[in-house]
Amino acid sequence: MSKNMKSILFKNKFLVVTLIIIMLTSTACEDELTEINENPNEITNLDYGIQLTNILLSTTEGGYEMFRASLGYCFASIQQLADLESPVSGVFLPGDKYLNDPLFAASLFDEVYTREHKNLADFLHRTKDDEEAVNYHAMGRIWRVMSAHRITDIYGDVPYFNSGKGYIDNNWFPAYDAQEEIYADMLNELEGAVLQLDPNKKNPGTNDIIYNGDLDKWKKLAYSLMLRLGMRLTKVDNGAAEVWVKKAISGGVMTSNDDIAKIIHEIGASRNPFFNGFETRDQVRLSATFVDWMINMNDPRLDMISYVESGGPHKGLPNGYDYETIQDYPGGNDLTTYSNYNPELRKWESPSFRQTYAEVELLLAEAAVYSWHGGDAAEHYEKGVRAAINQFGLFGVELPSDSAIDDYLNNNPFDPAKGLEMIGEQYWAATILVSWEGYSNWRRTGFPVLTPTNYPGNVTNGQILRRLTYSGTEYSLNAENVNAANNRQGPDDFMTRVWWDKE
Amino acid sequence: MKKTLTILLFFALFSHVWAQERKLSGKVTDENGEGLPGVNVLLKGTKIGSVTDIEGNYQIVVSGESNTIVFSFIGYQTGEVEIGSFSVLNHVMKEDVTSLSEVVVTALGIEREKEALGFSVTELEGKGFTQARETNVANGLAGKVAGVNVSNIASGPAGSSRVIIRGNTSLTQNNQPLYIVDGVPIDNSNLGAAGQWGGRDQGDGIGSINPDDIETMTVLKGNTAAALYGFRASNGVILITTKSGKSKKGLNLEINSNYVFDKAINRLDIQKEYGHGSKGQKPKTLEEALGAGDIAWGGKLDGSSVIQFDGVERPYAYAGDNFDKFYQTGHTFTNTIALSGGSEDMGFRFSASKLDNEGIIPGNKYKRNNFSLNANGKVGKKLTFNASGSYIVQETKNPPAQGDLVSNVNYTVWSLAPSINVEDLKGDPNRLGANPDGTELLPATTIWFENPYYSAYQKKNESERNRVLGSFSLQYDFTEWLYVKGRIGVDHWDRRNMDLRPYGSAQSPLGYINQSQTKHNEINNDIMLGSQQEFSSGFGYNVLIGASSMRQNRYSNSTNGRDFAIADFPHYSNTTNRTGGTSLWELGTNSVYGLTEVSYKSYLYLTATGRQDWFSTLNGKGIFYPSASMSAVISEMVKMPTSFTYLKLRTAWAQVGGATNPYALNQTYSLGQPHYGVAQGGVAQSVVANAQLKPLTATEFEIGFDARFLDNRVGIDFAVYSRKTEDDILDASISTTSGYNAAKVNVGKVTNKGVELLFTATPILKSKFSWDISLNMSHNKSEVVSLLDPEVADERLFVDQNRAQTANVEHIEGLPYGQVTGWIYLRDAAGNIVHNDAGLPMRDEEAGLVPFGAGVHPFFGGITNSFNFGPINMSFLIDYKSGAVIFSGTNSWLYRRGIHKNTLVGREEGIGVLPGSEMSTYYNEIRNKIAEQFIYDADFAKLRELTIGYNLPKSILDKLKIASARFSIVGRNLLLLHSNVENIDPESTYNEGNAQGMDYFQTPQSRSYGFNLNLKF
Repeated sequence: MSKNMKSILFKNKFLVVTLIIIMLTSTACEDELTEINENPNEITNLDYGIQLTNILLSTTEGGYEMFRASLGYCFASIQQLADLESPVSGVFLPGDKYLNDPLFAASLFDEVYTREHKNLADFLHRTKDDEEAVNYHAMGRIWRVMSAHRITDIYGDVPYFNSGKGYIDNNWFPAYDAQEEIYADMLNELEGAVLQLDPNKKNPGTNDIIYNGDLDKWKKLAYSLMLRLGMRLTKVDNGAAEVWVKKAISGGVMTSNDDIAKIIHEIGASRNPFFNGFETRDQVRLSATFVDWMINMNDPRLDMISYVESGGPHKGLPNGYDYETIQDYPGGNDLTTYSNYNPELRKWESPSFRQTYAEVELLLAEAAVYSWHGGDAAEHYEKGVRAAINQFGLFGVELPSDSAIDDYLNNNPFDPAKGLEMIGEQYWAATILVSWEGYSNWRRTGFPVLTPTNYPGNVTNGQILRRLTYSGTEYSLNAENVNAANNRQGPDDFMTRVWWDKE
Repeated sequence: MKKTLTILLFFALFSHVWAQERKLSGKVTDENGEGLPGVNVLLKGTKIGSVTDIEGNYQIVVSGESNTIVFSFIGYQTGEVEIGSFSVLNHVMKEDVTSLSEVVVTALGIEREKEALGFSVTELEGKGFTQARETNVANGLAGKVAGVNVSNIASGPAGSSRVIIRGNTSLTQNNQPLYIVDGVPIDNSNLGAAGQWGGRDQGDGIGSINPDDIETMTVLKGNTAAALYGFRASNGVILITTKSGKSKKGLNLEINSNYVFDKAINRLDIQKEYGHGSKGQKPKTLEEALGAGDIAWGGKLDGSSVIQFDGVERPYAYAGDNFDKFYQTGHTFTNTIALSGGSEDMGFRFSASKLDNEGIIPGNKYKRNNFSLNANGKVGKKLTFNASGSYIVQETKNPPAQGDLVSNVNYTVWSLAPSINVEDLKGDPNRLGANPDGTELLPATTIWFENPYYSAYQKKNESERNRVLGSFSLQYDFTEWLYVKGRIGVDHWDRRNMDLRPYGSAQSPLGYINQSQTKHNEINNDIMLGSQQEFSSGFGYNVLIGASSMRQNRYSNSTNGRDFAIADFPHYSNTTNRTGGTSLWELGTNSVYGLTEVSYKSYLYLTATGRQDWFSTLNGKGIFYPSASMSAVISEMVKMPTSFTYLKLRTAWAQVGGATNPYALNQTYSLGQPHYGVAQGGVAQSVVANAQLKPLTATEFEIGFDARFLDNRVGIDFAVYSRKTEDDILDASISTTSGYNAAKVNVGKVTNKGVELLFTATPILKSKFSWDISLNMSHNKSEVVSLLDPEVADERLFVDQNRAQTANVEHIEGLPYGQVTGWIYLRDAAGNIVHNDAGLPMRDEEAGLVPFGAGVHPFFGGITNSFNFGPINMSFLIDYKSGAVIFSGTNSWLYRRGIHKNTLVGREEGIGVLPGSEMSTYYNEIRNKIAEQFIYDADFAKLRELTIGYNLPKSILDKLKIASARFSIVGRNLLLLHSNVENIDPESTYNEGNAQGMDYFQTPQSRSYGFNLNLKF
């Protein structure tokens, strides 16, 4: 260093020191930088109850998959709904004509994991080891079964054990689990969760938007779900079905419409998915199969479910027609003369059902037929039908009088010779409000007996489809695992049967 | 002051008089006829010299020693003139286009000798942006700088720019350069863009700048040039230096007025033979007319009377050009007044500017007011300061909606059947586009075929942005070779936006009003200590160390109200459903940096720089960014042939980074809308957070030369570079069964290799006439080397999808950046399109989405020719781009609607088994399934700029008491010289994002022409 420079630095000691201090301070504030990176818009630790509300709420189907997979495929293929659209005009209900619309078919798969399983996995992970949070954890386990059984019922083998764990375990490409293993685990989970419920531990209260913290009702829900899932096994493993159905009954299932697991929707906030699904698709009508079934038995539900815009008589739209071919059908292509799904049942704020009491009674009737319990099949059948009719009261529509319901039951008495068929048909009608369940039960029982359509270009060779197809993106992102599932289960098409749907 | 100087000069000259024989005097002016002060006037080969005074006048006493006089001044070409027997010799200094000045402002505002730079830097004068101007000054770079690819986004005057230097570095993040104004980084974030599902381009940050305030714009192309900006350097840097009063003495007033008309360029060539209707039939009822209101699959136009959407029967005939009827002549009027002045120690400049624009789409307006103040000076002998500040107000009304159909006027206007006159959609004259009851007048049954007048006049999207840019720096020179400098800079803006859908609109019958407000702040502090010396041994050094800090925050709140209770009262209080929210993000960086340059004899320079950045976004983690460069002026080292005026070789290497977003490291929870008053919320992220995240790294090597021949009459500047980007931050798609759509990861490798050539020549240089050529050509070859998993070949990364949903932009391994991919026809062995049993063309499902080419042009450049004929000069710029493709969603939709000319085929005779009445099915199938048909080569050449200027002669100026006056006729986008795209402009770019090569009913490009008047007093 030159003398000159030294003297300069010396003369300006103050400046140089200041400079050095500034430099040092600006490099030594890692803590400050970390502080800046604290997100003020979000929180790092969320109250369990707040997340529980979110989990319960989000397991209402969104409008996206409700319209596509539920209405579009399930409801239409079991002939509860119909439409006249064709590949030329733009398909609305591909299930009406057994057409291939990969995005519609995969819509549930595409939505449910990100919307439901992400938070379920996180919630269960966080509450697992917290002894005070056993009720939260148990409700989470029950609700995870509620979410998961729909997916496996619709697609068969699906990611289950590792679903939603992208952050927790960094598992970005979960394996597909065999449906047999999924069912075994779901039933075990229900059993285990009920044992966890403890009135002496913290209760979520109002955050439990299903039962307001009523643990007994949660118990009934868990056993009712166990009944639903146990009964699902009748074709594939009748012995296991009997074991689980008996466990469910002895545990205590739902006993009235007060026990229904439902979401009460709120105007301006969460929407009833039927409202979402129907809102912009005015072309969808009730199927002639369904409407005729009600007409033939003089069903008191007809006036509640069916609404004809033109004011004419109730008349369903036959499945498998388009705007051209319908012209020869009485009524032609004027959609206003066909029965629509009553708008009163699909308002923004209409409740949506996850598990109903009517289903429980009808399954008990079926179990009675198998003599799995001492009850009377006819009695459970009647209770089921009555509950299925009266549950419309929750929508604010005018209910038929008790005598009208009595007349209906008297005119269509339970006939043990046709017991399973009658139960199956009533289950079909009762689950018009529970989207996936009717389709699954139809596949298991084969009731009601439906005549398939055979529209040109259908992909099932004129048969009602047995499952929906996986998401196309899985083949690019998770190919190894989805292909392993196909090797185990069968080709990824609409006619491959899921494990419990044994021929 | 002026007098003193003159007297001083006079004395300086006088001292020589006794010894010399003859006096020579004259005036030195610039090309505009303005007197140039400070020009060195030297008698060649002697030490006798002088300097021009404030008016540009000089006097010199010449002896017999030399008969040549040399005029030299920084930024101008040195001129040599024979004295002969003249006693008065005036001289016009020509600006040196190849090297504006010997000193260049580089990174962090450090002024360095041009010789010393081992990397490519291009400096442009501000006046290049003020004649045939763009409202967004960055768009004015188009075709001017080698290596700089400017996309002319079709989104109106308030729209954003897309400037890409040496190729796209990042796969999914921002690729635009960092803009620095007077040493301070400014925010250039895009404030809203059109995407696959629509939107409006709400402009960017650089669009705030008034081109009249720009002294120079310097493009630091390579990573080495930008290396001292560390984490912000990966996309290159553009430095803007605003005008100051330093070189002016006394008070100077400058007025600039620019007025241009903007005319929409109609490239539509549609079928005019068939009218509205379906199945080849004319509609017979109102229902049929409405049902077919959006398609032209009707009967042959025969002049008969046919019902239309409004129940009125009109002749079934070509109704005229709806394009020409709908678009209006836009205009832009820009006025700037600047006052500058100063003394020996101080200088200031104040300017005020007003830009008033009316777009080619009715209802689209843009206003910009800029107020700038720049002051600089010396306090005592050692302290200098520089302060600049601007206040900018921007108001935008109804920027064009595009990308999707919603509110997109182009969509309906271009898709209307030839038998429908768009003007019949005007409806209620007091409420254009509406029915008498106030509801939207729809031309068809579907609500997705909107009334363009309703969109233009009844829907409102308005924003106002107020911005303050400020910079203040102080430098203290301890000695001639040691200084300390501090600088503080601020960029603050706040903006409010309102989006109104009135009560009665078809898609939202009850309407809505969404409002938001955003505040943005960025503060940068720098302090640096520098030392520079040259020793008699020939060695020299330039050393600098510094530290800086950056803090940024952005706050926004929004209130959204839906469903008006009362019609015609578009206020939030009138809504019955309300939601809202707020958000705040903050980030900061602390840095230290240093530069060391060692030089020998002003011809060999070695430079190394380093910068260490610590990031808040990485919880304090730090990263080091180095660079090294060398410059060798060969022409100073060895004796070159006389035709070689100058030769410099340069080479550079650097490693720099890219920024990361805050809050990306950890998973968090957010709250949603409560359910009956019960709070609910869950995991906030749909992308898996990653605590190990780091910024991307770009490593670049460049080598080049600058050669000049024949006394600078010919120049070649050439650069080759190779840049590699690694560890890009990607949201890598993962199986949704994981609960997430994607995971944040550091992956990917992209290379950009390219050559840049700048060729300049002055074929004619006479005192009365000169001709200059400046040609630049660039080729950037990009390659996506690897994406997610280096082990897996042929990986693809989705970037965006066109609204038509048959074409994507994807990154594909082994191919250039941003491939336009699309579905192709199924063809038999002979190459014929295969049809299914129904007679419809089939697509090749097995081939999947086939890459057609990059959406970003690898070849581009421009040529400027300038001619000077005394007071008149003329220049024009032709630019070109080639090697990219564009998918036109517009053309695919024109197929669907039966508007495209190609859809005439088969209407009478049918195609294959399909009768003529089924042609809508046939062409719909193509639109629904095939992209191939609508992918075009996007090569183009345009006459981008034309300026013809006239400088008023001094004789007139003197009478008018004006220092200078220049009148120019200006034009922009005058001619499309080459294009292979049907119906749309080849530059119909979607937005400023990374998915280039996508079109969907973009706002047409406009041709601008008008005048510019510049007066100086």
